[in-house]
Amino acid sequence: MLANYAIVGIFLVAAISFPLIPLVLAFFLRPKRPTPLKTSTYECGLEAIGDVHVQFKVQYYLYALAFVIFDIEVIFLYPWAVAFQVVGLYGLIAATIFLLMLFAGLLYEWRKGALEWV
Amino acid sequence: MDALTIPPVDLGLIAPLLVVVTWATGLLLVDTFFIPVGRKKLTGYLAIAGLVVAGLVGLPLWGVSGSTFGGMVRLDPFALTLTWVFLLIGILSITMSLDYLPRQDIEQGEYYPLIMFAVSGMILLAQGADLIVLFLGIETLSITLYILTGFAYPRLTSEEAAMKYLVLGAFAAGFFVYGIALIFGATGSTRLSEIGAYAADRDLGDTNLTLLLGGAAMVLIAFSFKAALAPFHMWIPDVYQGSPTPVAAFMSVGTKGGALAALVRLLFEALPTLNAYWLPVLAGLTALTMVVGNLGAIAQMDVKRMLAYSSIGHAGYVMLGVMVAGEQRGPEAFIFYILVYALSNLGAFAVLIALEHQGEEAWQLDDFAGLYQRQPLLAVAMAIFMFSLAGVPPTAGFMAKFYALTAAWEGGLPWLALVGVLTSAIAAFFYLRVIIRMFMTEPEGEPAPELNRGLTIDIVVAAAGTIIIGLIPAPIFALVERSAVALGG
Amino acid sequence: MELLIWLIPLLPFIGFLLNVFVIRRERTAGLVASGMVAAAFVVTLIAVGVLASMPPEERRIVSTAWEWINTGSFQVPFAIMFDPLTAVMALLITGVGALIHVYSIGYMHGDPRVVRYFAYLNLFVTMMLFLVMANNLLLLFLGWEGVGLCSFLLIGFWFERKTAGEAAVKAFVVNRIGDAAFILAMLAIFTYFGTLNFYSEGEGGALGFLERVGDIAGLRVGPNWQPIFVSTAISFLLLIGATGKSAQFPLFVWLPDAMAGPTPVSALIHAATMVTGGVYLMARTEPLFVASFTTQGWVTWIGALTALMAGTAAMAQWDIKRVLAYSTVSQLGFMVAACGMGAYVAAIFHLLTHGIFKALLFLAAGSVIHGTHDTQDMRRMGGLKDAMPVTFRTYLIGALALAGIFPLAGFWSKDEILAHAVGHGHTPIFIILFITSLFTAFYMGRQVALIFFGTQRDPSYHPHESPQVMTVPLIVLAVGAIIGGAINLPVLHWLTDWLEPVLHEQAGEFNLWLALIATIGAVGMGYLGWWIYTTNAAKIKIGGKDPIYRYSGDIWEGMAEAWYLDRLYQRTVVAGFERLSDFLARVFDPQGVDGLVMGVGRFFGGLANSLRAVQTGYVRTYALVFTVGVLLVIGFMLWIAR
Repeated sequence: MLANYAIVGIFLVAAISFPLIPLVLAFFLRPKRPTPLKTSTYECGLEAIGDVHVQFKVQYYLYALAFVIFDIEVIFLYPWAVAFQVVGLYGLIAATIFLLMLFAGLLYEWRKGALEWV
Repeated sequence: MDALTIPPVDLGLIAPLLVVVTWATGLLLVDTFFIPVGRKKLTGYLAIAGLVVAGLVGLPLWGVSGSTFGGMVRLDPFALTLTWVFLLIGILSITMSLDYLPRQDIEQGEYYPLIMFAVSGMILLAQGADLIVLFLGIETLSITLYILTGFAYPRLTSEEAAMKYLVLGAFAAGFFVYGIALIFGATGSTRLSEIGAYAADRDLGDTNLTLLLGGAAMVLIAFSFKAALAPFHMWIPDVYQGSPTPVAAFMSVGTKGGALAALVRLLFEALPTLNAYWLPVLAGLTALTMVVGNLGAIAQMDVKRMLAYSSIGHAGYVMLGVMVAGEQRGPEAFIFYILVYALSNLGAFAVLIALEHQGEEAWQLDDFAGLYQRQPLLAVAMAIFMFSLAGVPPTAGFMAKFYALTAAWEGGLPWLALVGVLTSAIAAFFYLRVIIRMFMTEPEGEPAPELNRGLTIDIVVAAAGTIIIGLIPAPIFALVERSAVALGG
Repeated sequence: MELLIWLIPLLPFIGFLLNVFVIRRERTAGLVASGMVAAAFVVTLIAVGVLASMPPEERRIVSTAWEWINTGSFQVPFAIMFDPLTAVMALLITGVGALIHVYSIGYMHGDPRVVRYFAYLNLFVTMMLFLVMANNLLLLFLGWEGVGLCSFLLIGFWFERKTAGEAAVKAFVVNRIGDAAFILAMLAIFTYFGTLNFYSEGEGGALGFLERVGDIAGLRVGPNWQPIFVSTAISFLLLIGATGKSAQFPLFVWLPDAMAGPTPVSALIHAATMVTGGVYLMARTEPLFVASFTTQGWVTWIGALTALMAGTAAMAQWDIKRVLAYSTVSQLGFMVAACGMGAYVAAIFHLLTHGIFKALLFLAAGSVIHGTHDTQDMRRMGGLKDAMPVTFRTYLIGALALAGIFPLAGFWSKDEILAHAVGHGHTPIFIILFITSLFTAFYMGRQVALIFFGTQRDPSYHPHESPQVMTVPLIVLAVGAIIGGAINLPVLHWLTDWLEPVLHEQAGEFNLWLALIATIGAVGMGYLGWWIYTTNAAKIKIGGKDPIYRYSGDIWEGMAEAWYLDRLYQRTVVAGFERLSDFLARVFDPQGVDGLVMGVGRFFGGLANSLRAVQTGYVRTYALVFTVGVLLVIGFMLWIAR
């Protein structure tokens, strides 16, 4: 059982070291001659003006949420479609109920005006 | 591809849950399509009807014991009785919201279905026999509560409370999931009974034991967070104070009931053989909870915040029954305490609502000054709730506390019973302060708003229940006794 | 008969309900309340008559109304009983109670909340009757808490006076300490006996725990290095409960403050009935106490010590009611000490006579207060005997009875306790109690002199005698204080025989020498007290010091402050709790200052810098505490798994 966790551990170590090793290597190898220009945030382009907190239009969030509904739908429908032969009528009914619930969500969203772009 | 075997599904066993969920989903649509703004009370009535129907559907299931969905969901008298208690909590909470929402200008039709969804999460927690299902239940409950907490969103405190609750709740949920993963890693199952069999039968290797214990510890932490055990209780005062009062009321009993019901199953179906490990931890947390909750309440001048601290303290007393649920008296004490606490605490919150003016956020002790002169009914009811919460006979609160203490004492935790007795002695002090303001000071400030029907019903039901259960608890004890029998198998 | 005994507590309860829900007029409230209690007294008398007609060993009626708790092994019926011990208590409660109700009609006349007052008073009588009639500890506890609740409400009745509310809370909270011990005692009794019933319910019923004390003989609990007898543990917990209710050392501090309530309340609750609840409890559970030699020693010494401390404190008070309050504490100490020495009949005898003459003294003091327009400082009184003749005479009778002068009631009962102490070799206890009884005579002489003799020191009011509705109860009680000793005269010992089925005690020897010495001593000390304060009357100034202060020095201060016990609690317990609660509030409640963050923050170095006093920052505090908790829980579980 623990062997499985070992794999996780190896992955973890690999994942961390993959970006870390080049950076460390670079740190030791690179020449260090900082100038004010080099240490500024962006070496080229214009000076940044204004707040970093950009406000997005709230509709984007609603769209993102609506997207999630369909995303989930696909995720769950795909295995059902693959195993359609095996799960048979039972699966069909279950999937229909699932779709109906999503449909209810969609109806709600539509009625609440979340699909309109104001 | 191998033929998939689909486990037989007996929908009858989850009938109340099914009713609540479908009804809530339908109600959400009915509300948006057919119920005009300004008449949203109708949605509330329909929600109450749904909860009542769910309760009635459960009636023929009394005495049934069985599991379905491949053993992931379980129905037994323990779960069924708790289901009824949760439905009652939902009904009372909705009743007290009916007039509160328009008065505070936050009336939205979604409120009522959300409460129903939260109730369904609680029922799932009582019925769950699998870690995944328990997680599902806890998230259903929590996510709806995040929304409900922020329901008064024009009010900054409400938004703030929702945000805090969300961040910390997600933190705790992370522990839950990680705990499940570790337990699964150690035992190869998420089914409570299978984990229990694994932990009991096999001579666990060091590694597996460590994994199992680590996982168990994390799951326990997640439950402790939901049930507000110290030191995982920090969110409670802020969240209660910020959220709409009926939501705070619902939360104070709902999360405790749901989370601890699941904890009972987890401890005694999955981990009974490991009780040498979790019992000292939980006992320590319980003792700390009782001390912190009751001492913290002393310093509060805001009654809503005081009730928040008191709810922390009461989580400790509920835990007394939970920890000894291996014995017959444990689950009895647990269910009885939850029911009694629900009545008294919901009643106390209902009185707060009755005193609340539009847009007001604080309930200072002084707002209660001379209430007996202004509104005797409210004052007497509040006194009953306070005495019940303080555990003074002949109220139900005394019976519940005494029973929980007996359970703990007999279950081998006499020192914890001692802590419970001492802290409840301290607790009298701050409940009494409210009573003093009501009966022993002259009224000041403007009179409270008119009492309306829904609230009156709520308060009267809760007060009458508190007194009647205190004087004639035998029928409730009989119910509770039979509910507890099936547990631990 | 069963119906009859249910009527006893139900009649005042009906009065309570009427006063809460129906009655709105002052006059009806007083009449109904008094009538109900008087009716209960009559019913009690009839019940006593029925009881007396039965053979002595069968004198116990148990009646169950319904099963209160009924789960598996845990069964508690809502059952009351009537036996000789209950009978005498019920007679005292309803008899003295009725007189005090009548008196209250006059005393409370014109108060805006009279109806509420009588409702509380009726509820009190109901609860007190449940306390003495309960057939199990749980129902007794219901009454026990009920009287505490009424006491709380009545102490704080005149909430316009600032001290009233504080005194009420103090009384309740101090009593909660005793209650906590009481609950633990119940848990322990249930664990070892499986029942909370005192006696079996009727023929063939399961035996109550008082009938099975033999079961726990020799059983021990506790760690191996220091096991204690179960009987000791249980009886000691009960003792703590009793010290709270009966205002014994170290929990007596609430009683003097409780005098903030109306004077009839002090008479009924804080002298005659409620405070004797602890003594009743010890007499009722006498088999448990007798089974533990250790506890009995504690009981005796606590009683004697309380008697002496409160007796000395009573000498140095200026407030007319505080003298009586400390005196009550002192006399309760006598009763408790008697219980500890095994003289339960003497304790109950003293309880009864004390209930009568102390109620008389309080009511007479109330009459004085009433007649002097709410004056309570004795330095502002003096020379009232001519203006208030009835009050003066009845007060004098009460004072003589309390001082233990032959042949008044107090003489017989106190003498029985002292005689028992001598006869059973409790010499140190005897010496303490004897000295205390001399002090008693002294402070009563002092008080009578200060109130009624000399000249009126504060001319700002015109004293007048109280109306008849107040003086008649005084006269009735005065008669009781004179002849009350008759119920247990040395040769006849009716009370001993009457209580024999419950307490199984034989009458003690009458000690003639002791009686003579005690009487002479009491007369002498009483006269001394009277003489000092009449001859030095000119030296007593309003707000000034006591004449004795010149000779005694600061000891007098200590006595006046009841040996600083109260202040000790304020400084240590109360202040400690306040600090702890404040600390917790600050640590776990960032609405104050985020204290823990600062502490732990320093510990975790840079973390604290990220936490500012912005509101949203607190979530991090919570998460931090959460994380600490997580580390502790996981660490602990894995640590014990090693």
